[in-house]
Amino acid sequence: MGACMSLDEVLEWEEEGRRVRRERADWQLIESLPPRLRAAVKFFIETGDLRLAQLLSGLDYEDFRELLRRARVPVLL
Amino acid sequence: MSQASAEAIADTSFLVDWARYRRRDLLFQVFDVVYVPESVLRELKYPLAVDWVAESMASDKMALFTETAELEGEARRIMAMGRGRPLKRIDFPEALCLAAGLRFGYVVLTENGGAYFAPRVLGLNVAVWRAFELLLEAWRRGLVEDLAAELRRYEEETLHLFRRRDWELVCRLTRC
Repeated sequence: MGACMSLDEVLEWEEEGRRVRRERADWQLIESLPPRLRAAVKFFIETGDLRLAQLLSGLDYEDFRELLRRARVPVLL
Repeated sequence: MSQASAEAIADTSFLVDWARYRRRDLLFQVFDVVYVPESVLRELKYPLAVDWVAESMASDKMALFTETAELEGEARRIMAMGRGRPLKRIDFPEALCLAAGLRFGYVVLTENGGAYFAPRVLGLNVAVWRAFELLLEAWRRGLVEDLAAELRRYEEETLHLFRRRDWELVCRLTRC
């Protein structure tokens, strides 16, 4: 890996991820989800924190990843 | 990108996405063996990933990585280092892979933001690759002919997208 990462670089990555997730998401499907799943998917869209979003959803990792695919929310890293 | 170790260790986020990729066995043309920690194995649930990992373990392309108390302690130390830094949280399964990478020189395969950025934010001397770096390495070794087309295929098959900066690098390398 390269040199230390600046805060600006981290923020740039975060912002690009958030923008793409918001744009690509199937919001109609997301709004139709049960409250807990809806909150977890929205949390992921805003933060990109897959682990914490999965825990919030109450689903196993693979189930939550499948839910994201169904909702057309990409993982971007 | 440094010379790749012949051995890697993969976390759940990497395996779950990579298992959906049609050319997933490229992994074994880059690495002699890919270790899968017990905690990661327990998280795999769907046939796509479970069957592939089981077949790969049966043919010795993957191997079970048994966690030790020493490595668990190192993983918890890495998790603690991340707190208060501009870094996504590093959870235990990912921290364990980082600890194993540090201890044994494995390349860590992940799609977890905390784990991916950890070497640069925390100054850890460990190579951490996403699917992007793996496909790039496969291209460098002549295993992939058209890098951009392969990356697009990966995106379509996994709904895992690459960054603008990644695509800029691809354009520079392939003169697209």
